[in-house]
Amino acid sequence: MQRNIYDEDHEAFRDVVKEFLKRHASTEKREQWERDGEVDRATMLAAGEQGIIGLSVPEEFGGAGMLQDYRFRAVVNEEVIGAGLGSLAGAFGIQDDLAVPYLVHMGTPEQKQKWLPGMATGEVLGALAMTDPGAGSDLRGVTTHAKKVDGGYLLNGAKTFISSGKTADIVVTFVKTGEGNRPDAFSLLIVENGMEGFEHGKKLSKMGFHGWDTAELSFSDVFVPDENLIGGKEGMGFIQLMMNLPLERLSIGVAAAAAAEAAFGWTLEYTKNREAFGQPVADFQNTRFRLADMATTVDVMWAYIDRAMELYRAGELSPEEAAKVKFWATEREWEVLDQGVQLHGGYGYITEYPIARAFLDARVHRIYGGTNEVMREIVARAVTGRK
Amino acid sequence: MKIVVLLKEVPDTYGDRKLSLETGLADREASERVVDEIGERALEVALSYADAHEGTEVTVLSMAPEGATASVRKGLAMGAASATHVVDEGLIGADLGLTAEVLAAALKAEGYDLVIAGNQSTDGMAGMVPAMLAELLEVPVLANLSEVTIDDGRVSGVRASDDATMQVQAELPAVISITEALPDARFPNFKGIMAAKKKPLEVKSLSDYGIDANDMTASRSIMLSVAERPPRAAGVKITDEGDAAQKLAAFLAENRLV
Repeated sequence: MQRNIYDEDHEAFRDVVKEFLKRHASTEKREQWERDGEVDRATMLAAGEQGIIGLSVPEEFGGAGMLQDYRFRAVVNEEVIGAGLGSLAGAFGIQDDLAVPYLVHMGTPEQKQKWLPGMATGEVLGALAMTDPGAGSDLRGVTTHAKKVDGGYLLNGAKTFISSGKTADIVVTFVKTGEGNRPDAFSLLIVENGMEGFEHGKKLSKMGFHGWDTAELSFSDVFVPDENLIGGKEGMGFIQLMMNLPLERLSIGVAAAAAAEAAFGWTLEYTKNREAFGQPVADFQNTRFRLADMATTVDVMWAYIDRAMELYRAGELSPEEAAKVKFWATEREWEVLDQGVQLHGGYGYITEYPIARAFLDARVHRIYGGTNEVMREIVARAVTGRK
Repeated sequence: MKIVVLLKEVPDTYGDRKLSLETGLADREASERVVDEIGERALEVALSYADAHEGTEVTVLSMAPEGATASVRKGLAMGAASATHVVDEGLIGADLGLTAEVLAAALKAEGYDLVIAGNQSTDGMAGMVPAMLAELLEVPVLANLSEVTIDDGRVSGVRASDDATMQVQAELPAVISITEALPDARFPNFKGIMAAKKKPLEVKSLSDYGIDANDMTASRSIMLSVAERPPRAAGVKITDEGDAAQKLAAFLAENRLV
């Protein structure tokens, strides 16, 4: 179904992304990222040069100023994921959707000036650390603690499952600065690479996203200066996180739709070319019906997500609408990818084929960004009015 | 210093390229339309000179159908300061002579010190336009350069032929054409795309230059008929049963190939 949210600027930008992938994201590069478990910095800098990252950084700091308009980011996701490069799409997404927004929306003028220009170019990469080993979706259970000392904080604790945690130069870290688990007991601190007592644990070995790093972080008496407290005011961390969650969830929905669309394309191509029992697999009725299902699902996904992007642009995407998008889109993505793998037969299980990689990448979409169960809770609370 | 770069929109070289059997023209809907890569390289030559030499003005000139605006704009997004797009119904199917005449008129109208073009387009592949242009403009042409140096008031370079390498140079104003040996072109970035929207893009027609496409006193190539190439017939397969050499020789002789 024809989509109508893009104009000629987006299409011109799509060509930029395609050309970038042609020049900087060969199969050899992807294999290198998978061996290293991370995207190399040169590639991130090249992306900064073309304006493929830094889209959410305001123009005054050298970015594109598109934080409130997700369409350019959606184009990046469509093209990068469509090229079978989920890990690269993930690395781009962390920068623009999860790290930059905290500085743009809540950073002090000094914090913006210090970090945003580098985040537009890729010289400064960011990550967001919310999850403790003992608390994930249940954020108020976070125990990583920052004690107020003269001129700053003394940070102790650990974070885990931190996407881009190893490659990031700065980590926006959710910490406890008060007593109990009231919302105002938490703050966001910017922890910088090289601060004494800040250690990267081992890079976690994951089911999917093999070319994108996920790390454990540990903090032992890390001194974080006052000027690294996001917004300059203590106790705002919970509210700050809540403010950006709709974007984070929308971004996962967009990635899910991009992956589903790509999976349909790969499967269509494969089944037309692969023969079984003397005819193309695409000519068997079962295949035809499945392809029809997949194509329709992808259309409906985009219709819904395009609408969510428009709401977001208007500043009207509520947390529960974003939660609906996240759980619904990632579950449709899973169905489409699973079907795609099945129609690829044995090749669908071979990671040389993009469908296999995308399938492995997709599984975490139902988990991270808030599990789909938590998403349903958020929606249920809104629709029933009961906690 | 003003450098004008000629850009051509062509069917994607890597796509399905087709001629329309009704009109004999390239079927522009059959594949994606892109800026000819050799033209992008020509623009790169101009832009890298401009990067190093303040006060250099780089503009692009394109003769292309109405729908080619996005391609012309790409030149602006890459870094050219302004663009001229010549569009006219009368130019559909224009031959080399008419193309050169139009481009020469446009160049005379806007002024130039140096014109840079690709050595040949990937669709027409004639490779004649730069020389024809220079003839009409009465300026020197250095064609097929694999190296280019632009100095104050002069352009020089290297032209490689099958059995010699020539050092060539010309006083400006001049026309040059470059080969694929020149570096890959830069590609636009987000800011370039946004900036391109604000750059001047002038659309001109034949009447602006006082050119009559149907002027019968000029010699023009006209397409008389077009037909699909017949499918290749199957070849003859010779199985070696000890007499393959004789059979091959007989085949060649029979077809007057030896």
